Amino acid sequence: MAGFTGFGRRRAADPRLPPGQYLESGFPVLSAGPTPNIKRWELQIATETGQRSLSWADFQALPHEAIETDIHCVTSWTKLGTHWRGVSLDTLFDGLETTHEYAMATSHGGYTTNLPLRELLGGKAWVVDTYEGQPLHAEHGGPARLFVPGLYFWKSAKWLQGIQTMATDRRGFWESMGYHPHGDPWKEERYA
Amino acid sequence: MSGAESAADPAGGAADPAGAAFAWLPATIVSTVVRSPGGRSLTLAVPGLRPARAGQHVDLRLTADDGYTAVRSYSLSDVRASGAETDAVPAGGAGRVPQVEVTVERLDDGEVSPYLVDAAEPGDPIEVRGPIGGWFVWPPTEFESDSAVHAVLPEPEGATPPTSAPVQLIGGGSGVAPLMAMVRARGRGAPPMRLLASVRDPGSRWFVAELDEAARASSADGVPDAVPGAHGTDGTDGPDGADGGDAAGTVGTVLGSDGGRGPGSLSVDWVYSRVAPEGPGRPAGRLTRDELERLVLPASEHPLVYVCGANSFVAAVAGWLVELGHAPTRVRTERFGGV
Repeated sequence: MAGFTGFGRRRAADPRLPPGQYLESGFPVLSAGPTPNIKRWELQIATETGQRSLSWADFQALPHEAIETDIHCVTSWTKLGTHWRGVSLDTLFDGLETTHEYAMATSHGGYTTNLPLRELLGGKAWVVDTYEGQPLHAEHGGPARLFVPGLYFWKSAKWLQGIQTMATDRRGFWESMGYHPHGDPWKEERYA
Repeated sequence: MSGAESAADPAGGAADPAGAAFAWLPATIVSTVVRSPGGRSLTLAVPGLRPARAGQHVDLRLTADDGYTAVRSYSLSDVRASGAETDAVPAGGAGRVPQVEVTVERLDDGEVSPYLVDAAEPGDPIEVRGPIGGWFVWPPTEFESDSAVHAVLPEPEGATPPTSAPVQLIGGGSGVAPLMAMVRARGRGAPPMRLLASVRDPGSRWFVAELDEAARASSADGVPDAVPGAHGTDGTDGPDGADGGDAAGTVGTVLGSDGGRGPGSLSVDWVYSRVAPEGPGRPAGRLTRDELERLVLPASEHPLVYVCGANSFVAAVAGWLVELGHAPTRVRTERFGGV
C-alpha cells in the first residue's frame, strides 16, 4: 500500500474555507458552452407588477459599490479576498413590488440559474462589471455578471441578461444538470 | 439525476433525499494502466455507485494517516462497467461491483495528481462522490419540453435531435479522457463519431492503440469509408508514430467533405502542438481555425460537438466553431484551469 500522504504541496487549513474547498490563487473558468457574442447589452429586471430595462449607459449611471469577498466554486476551489464593483440588486429592484419568493437569472447565450429572492436582496447580491480594478473579462462573464458570493459561484450567472421573479421555484440550467437548487457552500449543497 | 426535471424542492439542503446519492463512497483502486509518461488510468471499484454516463466526472477524496484530506474532480474515461447489472465487468474485476476508470495527468505542482499517477497501487483505498454532470454527456439528456433547458436553448432549424446527431469530439491534452468514455460507450447503431485530439507530442497520446482498433473495426463493419486506409489512426502505434502526423490536414479534408459516414463509424485525427512525428505530415504547431474547419464535421451537418481541455484551448476552439457556423447550443464545453 502506498497511502496518500499529501505529499507535494499540502494545503493549509483556513477557517475561511467552507467544507471540502481548497485555496486557489488563479481564477478557473467554468462554462457550459462558447463565450457569447453580445452585440447589444441590455438588462431586464422584472416582477409580476412591472419591469425595468437598462441600457449600458443607464447601468453605468447607477451607484456602484465596492465589494471585497471570498468566492467559492462548486468544483471545490475557493478564492479569498477578491475585489469587485457593481450595482446592488436592492438598487435594481428598487420600486418594483413583488410577492414572489424566487427568481430566475438568464444569461446571454440562454443559460439560466434559479435563486431564492431573499439571497438577492438585502445587500447580498450585485451586478458587477469590474474585477480587481479592470473591466470584467468576457470569459469571466463580462461585460456584467450576477454576483452572489454567499452561494456557489455558478449562481453568479455570467453575461447577465435579465432577472425575473417567480411565484414558485423552478430549476435553471445547471440545476437541471444535477447541481443543487440552492447551493450554499457552508452546507456543501453541491449536487442534488 | 433523479428529479432533475421536477419542480425543485426549495433550498432542500440536507433534507433533500437526492443528496444522499452524493455521499462519499468508499472505493478501491483495482488496476492501473500507464497511458503516457505523464498520465495513468486507474480503475476504481465503487460499491453502491449509480450508473455513470459518458462525459461525467467524479470527485475523488484522499485521506492521509493524520486525517488530512484533499478533493479533486476527474473525468471518467470509461463508464461501461459502472452499472451493477452490467456484464461488462473486466476480467479480474471485483464481480459485479460497479467500476469506473479515471485517467489523470500529473501536474508537477499538484498535491493529488502525482499520487494518482506515480504512487497509488491496486488495493489502495479512495473515496468517490458522483457521478456528476448532465450537460457534457453523451448520449445527451433528453429534456422535457417544458424544462428550463429546452425553453432557453432552442435547437437549430433543420437539425436532427441531439440524440441522433453526428458527434464531433475535440480534446486538448488530458481533455481526451471524457471523450474516450464517449467513444467507448457508443454502440453499433450510434451516430457517426469523429474525434480530433491535440497533444504536445506523439508520446503524449492516450488510448492510441484502442482508438486505432475501434476506428478500424468501425470501417470493417461495412461502414463506407471515404478513403480506405487513410484514417488518422491507421498504422503503427508508438512514440515515433510515423503515421499519425500525416492524418491531420490531409485526410481530414477528404473525410470532412464526405459526410456520408454511417452508424457506428469512428474516425480519429491527431494534431501535435510541440513535436510532430517524423515524416511529411503536418508540422508541430497550435491548431488553427482553418485546420479546425478541415478536421471537424461541418456545421451543415449540425453535429453535436463536445470540446474538453485547458481553458485557453477550449475558448479558442469554441469561438472558432461558432465563427464557422456551428450553433452555440450545439457546442458543449468542459474546461480546466484559468485564463
